[in-house]
Amino acid sequence: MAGIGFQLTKLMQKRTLAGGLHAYGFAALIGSGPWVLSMVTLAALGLVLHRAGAARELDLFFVAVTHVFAFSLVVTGPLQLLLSRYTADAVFSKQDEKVFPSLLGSLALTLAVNAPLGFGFFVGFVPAPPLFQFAAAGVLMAVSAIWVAAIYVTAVKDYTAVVRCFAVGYAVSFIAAWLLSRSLGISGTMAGFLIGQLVLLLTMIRVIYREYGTHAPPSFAFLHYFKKHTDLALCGLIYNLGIWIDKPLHWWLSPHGFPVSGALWASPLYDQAVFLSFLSIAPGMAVFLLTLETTFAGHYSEFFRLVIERGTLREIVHTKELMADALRDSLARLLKFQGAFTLALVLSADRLLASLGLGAVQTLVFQVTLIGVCLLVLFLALLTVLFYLNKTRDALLCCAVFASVNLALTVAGLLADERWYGLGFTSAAAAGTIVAGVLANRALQRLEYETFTSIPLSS
Amino acid sequence: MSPAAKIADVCLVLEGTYPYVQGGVSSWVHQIVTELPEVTFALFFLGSTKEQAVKKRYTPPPNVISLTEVFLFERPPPAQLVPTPLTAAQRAPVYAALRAFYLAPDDAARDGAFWSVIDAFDAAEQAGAPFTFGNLLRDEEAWELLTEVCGRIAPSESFIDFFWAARFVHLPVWLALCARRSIPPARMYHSVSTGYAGLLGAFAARRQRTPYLITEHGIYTKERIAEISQATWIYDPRGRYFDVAEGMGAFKKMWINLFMFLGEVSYTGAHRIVSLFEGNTHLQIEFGADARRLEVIPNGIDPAKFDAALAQRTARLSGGLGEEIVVGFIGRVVPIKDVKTLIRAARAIITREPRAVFHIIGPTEEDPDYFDECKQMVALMGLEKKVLFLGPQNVREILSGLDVCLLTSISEGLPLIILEAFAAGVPCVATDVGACRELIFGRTAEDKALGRAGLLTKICSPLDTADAVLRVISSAENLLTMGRAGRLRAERHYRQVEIMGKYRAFYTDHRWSELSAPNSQLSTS
Repeated sequence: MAGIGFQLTKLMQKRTLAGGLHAYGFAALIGSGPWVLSMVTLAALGLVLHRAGAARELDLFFVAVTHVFAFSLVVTGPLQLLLSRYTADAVFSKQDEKVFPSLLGSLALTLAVNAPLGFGFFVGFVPAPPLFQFAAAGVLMAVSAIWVAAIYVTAVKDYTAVVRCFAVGYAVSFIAAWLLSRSLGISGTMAGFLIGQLVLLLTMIRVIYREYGTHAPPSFAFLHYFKKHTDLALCGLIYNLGIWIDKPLHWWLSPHGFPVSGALWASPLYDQAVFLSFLSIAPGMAVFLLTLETTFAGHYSEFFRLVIERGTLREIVHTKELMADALRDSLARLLKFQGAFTLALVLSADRLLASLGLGAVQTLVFQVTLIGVCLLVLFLALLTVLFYLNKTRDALLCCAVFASVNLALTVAGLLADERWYGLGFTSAAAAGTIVAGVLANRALQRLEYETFTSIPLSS
Repeated sequence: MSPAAKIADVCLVLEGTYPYVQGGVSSWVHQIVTELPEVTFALFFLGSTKEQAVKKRYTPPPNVISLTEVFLFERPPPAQLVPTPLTAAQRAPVYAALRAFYLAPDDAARDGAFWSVIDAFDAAEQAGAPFTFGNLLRDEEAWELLTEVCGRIAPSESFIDFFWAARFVHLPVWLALCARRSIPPARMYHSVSTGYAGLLGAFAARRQRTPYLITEHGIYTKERIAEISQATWIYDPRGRYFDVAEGMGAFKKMWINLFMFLGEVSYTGAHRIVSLFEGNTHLQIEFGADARRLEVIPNGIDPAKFDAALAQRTARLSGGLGEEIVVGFIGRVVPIKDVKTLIRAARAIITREPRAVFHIIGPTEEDPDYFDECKQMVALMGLEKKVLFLGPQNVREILSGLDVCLLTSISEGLPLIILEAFAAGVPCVATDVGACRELIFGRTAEDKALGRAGLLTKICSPLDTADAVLRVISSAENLLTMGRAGRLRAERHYRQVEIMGKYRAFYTDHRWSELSAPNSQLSTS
């Protein structure tokens, strides 16, 4: 009997520690982090190239890149959380040698899926010069690979490395796109952008190689995780669908939407305002990452340390309460910070957007979606907490609510009129936040119950 | 054998003994079922794991009509680990009963609440909503109760250990309770211990309104306490070396509380509680037995089988003491028998009575280190010619050659060897443990009047032992007088046929149970 008990304690230990790995929890945030960086650069590129003229042609470039982001994030969505979990488990179980081969394997898989998608879409359905078509397909493959590689860079735990890579990559993209556009026009812009993305991808792989490099062949062992952690894969897919679903709806259903070229659609009235408001996500996320890691994560590990290392029930419950306090505290701080920032932007929206040459309807959409983005930050924070608490099923439910509310209310808004634009996304973020808040609160309240009663009686 | 096609006269509830495990209790059970062929028996065997019950050590006679086996330390059946999805309303009565049980203000309230718990489980099952162990593992009400109990009994202990201790303490009880459905029907129940067997015996008798008898050879609760206080597999923050009297870790206490509780449930459910000797009745009272329901029925022998040895010995001694005076020790050479004290006493005896020789009769291979130490001690004292290790011998044959039988045990129950020595007319010098006092000096007034059949000594006292032996062997006359008292005592009070007669009476005429109905809360269901 003694033997059984001992074995079970070990099992418990494995479960709780592996479940609590930080990198895994952060995946949800990382998914949008690099994306924000990309948007900032794109916006800057847009401004510079606009000044250089050729605005109409540039629209094609930006619409194509927007599609690239949408495709790449949705397609790699299922992989993101899954790979975070896989690398976290590998690193935790001291099997570092599994990391690099799985990077190669997941990159191969990503390229294998995106190559036909990219070439099929851009060559088959987008009338443009061949160089543009091929470069665009290349960008889709490169950007998808970048999302995957970013997960592994996070596993290196050098968060600034992610930022450094993006800075270098987008600087090259920016310069090359600008230089090549002068001789090759829009095809040059896309080709130059591709060069920078490839540089970004290679610098990321180099960072990972330095830490985990082996000469082992690519491994596809992570594919087992699709079966084991189906919830995670679905979470990634549905979250990214939820983030994007309102855009194509506006392209196709809004009276302002039109095909820019072939299958490439756009609705500048909506797109520009929404992308601009998404840029406001950055400061809130930085604050949340910081407070989460310093307070919540600390209490979180302390909780499981006490469970395993023979804390009393009172100590365990007390630590959980500290954890809940820390979470409430960082959410409140986040709301204050992001709220103030959002409020400032909402109030200055008129002048800000006028200076960018955008009109009154766009200002309204901008203001509405700014609030949505503020809520999205809270939603992401709560999702991260659910991942921490191993509540992937709950997280999946939140993502489903988020995506379906966005779908339904965006369609409803489009059937009404322009005053309702953007409310679909904002309501979806609000609904997601409420559901995630209720579920996270419940999960925290029941944490010790769940932690203990889910231990199997025998292994 | 198929489980009881017909109702047995007696269901024997056996925990870890007959027919699969060899030992004193098993031999006793075998004797009962063999010597009472007119009584039909159903055996209900509670074992720890299936491995324990691979090979039968005894072949039960044909009057044993069924054998049912249940294992309490096996992996539970998977279905038992899946919680039945029940509504809060369905769970409520069971958890109300469980709360009343675990949070009971005193022992009496708790014992009553226990049967309400069982009734609640049964009611749930009859309503088509059976509780499983999985419910107890997963239900939120169970968790709340667990944390509440933890706050009461182990607020400053490691919770993960409390949690596992709670699981492991309850699992075998749960499996035992699951086994209540397979208890064979019988006209009465007789458990040969308390513990899990007692729990089921008490349950079956209560449910079927039949008499319930307990016979205890050792005191189960006391034995478990001794075992647990030495266990290393239960986490004890104080480490392994602590004084039982000073208290022990909360988790050891949990196990001990369980066995004390099982003892109480058994005792309060029993109509009669039998022990082998007077000393054990005091322990039974201490562990919750009602003094009015206690009875002493010792082990017995057939004195006639020793007639030849008695005759030989009497003839030999009638000519006075011989050139050698043989002091016999009959038993295993193990520390609990304290052979070393015997050797030290031998040294003191030989100094004063050079004719004395010591025969140590019994197996020596159980504890080879101890045997070596004993031999070295003998050599060191220069007693190789006087203290002889003879190994196992036929007891009936060697008894006639002994002048006195010596027992130096630190602990004993009712040592059969004393009865055998008495039957052969050999007086005994024994430590004052277990039943030795009532065997040597007599139990009742009438018994005492038969005279002393030897002397008692303090444990671990070579000088006291030497004095007693010297006094007994002072003359052939003394040896014969004491031997006669012993023989008479064995004939009058320890005859196997009479003891079997008492059990036959228990089994065939249930009037005894009406005279001592168990506690009121047990008779109302």
